[in-house]
Amino acid sequence: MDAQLKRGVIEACVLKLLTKGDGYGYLLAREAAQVIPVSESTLYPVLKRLETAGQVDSYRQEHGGRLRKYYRITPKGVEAIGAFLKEWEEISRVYEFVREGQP
Amino acid sequence: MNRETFLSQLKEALADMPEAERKDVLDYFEELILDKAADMGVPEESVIAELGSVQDVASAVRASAGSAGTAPESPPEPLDDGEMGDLVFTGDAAQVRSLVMRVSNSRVNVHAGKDDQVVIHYTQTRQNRYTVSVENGELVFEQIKPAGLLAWGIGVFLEPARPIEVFLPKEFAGKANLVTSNAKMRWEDVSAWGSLMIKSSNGAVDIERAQAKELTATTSNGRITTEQVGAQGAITLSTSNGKVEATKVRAAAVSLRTSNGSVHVQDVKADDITLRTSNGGIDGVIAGSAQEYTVTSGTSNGKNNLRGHAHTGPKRLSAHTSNASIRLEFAQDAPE
Repeated sequence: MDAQLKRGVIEACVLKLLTKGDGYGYLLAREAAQVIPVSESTLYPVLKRLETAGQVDSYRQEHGGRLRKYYRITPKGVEAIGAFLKEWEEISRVYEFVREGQP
Repeated sequence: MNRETFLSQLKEALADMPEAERKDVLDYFEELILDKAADMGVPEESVIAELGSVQDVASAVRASAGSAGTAPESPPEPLDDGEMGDLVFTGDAAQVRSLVMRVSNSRVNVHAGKDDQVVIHYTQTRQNRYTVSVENGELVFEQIKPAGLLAWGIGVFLEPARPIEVFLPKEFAGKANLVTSNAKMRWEDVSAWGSLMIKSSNGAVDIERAQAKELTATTSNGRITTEQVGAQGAITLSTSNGKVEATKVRAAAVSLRTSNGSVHVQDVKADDITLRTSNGGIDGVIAGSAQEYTVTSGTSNGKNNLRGHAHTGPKRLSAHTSNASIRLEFAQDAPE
């Protein structure tokens, strides 16, 4: 898949997962992989970008005797999901146009 | 590898990264290893093995390097889908008994090249990627089908596939089966020992100065032109909404079919000639004389100069159309 495109899609998947509750690295990697092929290593830069863009923030919470990093979606992240869906609506219109009548 | 070793090697691999960011990375992977091992009930070592090499992990992580505190515009992730740009495949012609091409939206042009090589020039882009393989004498050049909607970047609409140029020995000791779509195809100056099949759609097919055991060319919404082409067996050319032309063509059997287009023959020699269209004329010159041929012909709403043909020679000529005329001459009987 086009790298740029894939990046946007993975980011949207992660944001969507975070609307269901705060999550930590492994959990997000596991759940995102159910939707789109993404490795644990690739997920790190995704989370980093989302954090830098202010679409997620993070906090640490004790778990099993260590501090685990949790990610949380911000209002900007919620907006980003809306923008993603809007963009794909346009793309799917083009898709329907191209697909029509194809064998 | 245990967790400590992995983390220290990763730290080394990321030595040039700012300290704060590197710590984030190491925290992420340490947590990941601990959480995954606990969740899956497996040793940390196997989680680490699944991550791949330290170098791979480091380069995946670097996709976000330098982004701290800056705009979220980061360099694109490394592409894992092969080389891009203008590429050349070169194969040993002696290893190729069969050439198979399956592409779409690309013009394919076949020319004569070196006597001992099969060379393919193609342009690989994110939207148009190809695989080439040679196995058991078969060279397969195939476009990789994108996986569903997500694979199509918006750029696909702006970026038509570039022509693919194939160079074969002038005497190619094999067969060829070439398929594209929505594009023209051209085959010139190469003779194939085996059969030659060319298929496109919505584009013209041109074949010039070629021999083959058998030749089949099929397209739609485009013309088919053949000149100085021969086959031991049958030559079958079929399209729709385009004309079909055969000039200096020799074969055991020649079949030209279209609809909404004309059929034109010039110096065509075969024991069995079939010319079919509708809404288009059939005209030209057949090699030999009228006595050699048994003719069946017909049109509706048009003139037919073969109507009075009474000979019953060993060769067969069949010409049928509708809403247009048939005007075929025989070379030896043609007026001086």
